[in-house]
Amino acid sequence: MTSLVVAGAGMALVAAALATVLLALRRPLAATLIELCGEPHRGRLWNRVARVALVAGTLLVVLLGSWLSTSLEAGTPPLLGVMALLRWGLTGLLLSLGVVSAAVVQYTLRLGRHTPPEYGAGSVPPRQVGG
Amino acid sequence: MAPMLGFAVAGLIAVGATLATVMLLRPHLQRLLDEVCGTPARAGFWLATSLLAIAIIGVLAGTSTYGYPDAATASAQDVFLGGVTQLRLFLVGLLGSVLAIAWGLVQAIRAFERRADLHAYYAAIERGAPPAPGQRPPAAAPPRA
Repeated sequence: MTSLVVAGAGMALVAAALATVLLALRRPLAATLIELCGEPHRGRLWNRVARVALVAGTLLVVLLGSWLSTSLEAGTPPLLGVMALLRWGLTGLLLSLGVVSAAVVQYTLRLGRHTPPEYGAGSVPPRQVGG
Repeated sequence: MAPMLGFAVAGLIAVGATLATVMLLRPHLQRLLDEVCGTPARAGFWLATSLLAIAIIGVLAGTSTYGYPDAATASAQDVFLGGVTQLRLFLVGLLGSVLAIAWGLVQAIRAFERRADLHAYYAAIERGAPPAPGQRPPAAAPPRA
């Protein structure tokens, strides 16, 4: 019973952390991907893919971590068990966030190579015609 | 004093300090990213990602249980030293994450200045004042008003 309570409390904390990250990234990630993809429907697709990757990656790391560690064993104090699950969840969140950020960096660099910089994107103001 | 109580107190201190750091950095980071990233969408994404990374690493480091003694043989001094170790690891993690973000910002600022140099260089060519062969692009343009 204690292991079940520890697992439930740990997963509730992981879910709260995951929801916080998804909520904080919801608008910025969607806007960035729409801008990078060029078309709203492509941006929406990759936004969904990124969010699924964030959730799945986090849960995968939590499950692997609880399998590898002793957080759910009988002798472990409940608080330590819950914190161990939360720490695995945060590790998974960090890794997933790193993967999504790396993908955004790659596409930003690719876009920068193929399109000239516009005013405001690190450029000087445009010249006055006939001035 | 039970080790779990010490762990909880030190963990709460770490979470509070992490939130304070994030709130302290947020407006300044937002201004800089608005300038460096070029578009509000990208600036918003990197602002959210940077602050989330600082918060996650801070909480991860601030909830480490390394240094706490066994509950059956723990004295108050041992628990206190365990809490100090926990806070020390938290500070290492928080400092590391802030420095990593700062390193990324420095790289972004360099790229921003290279883009400005390149644009000014080609603008000079278009104006009919081509730079001499081998001449480096002119200095970076002043920041936008």
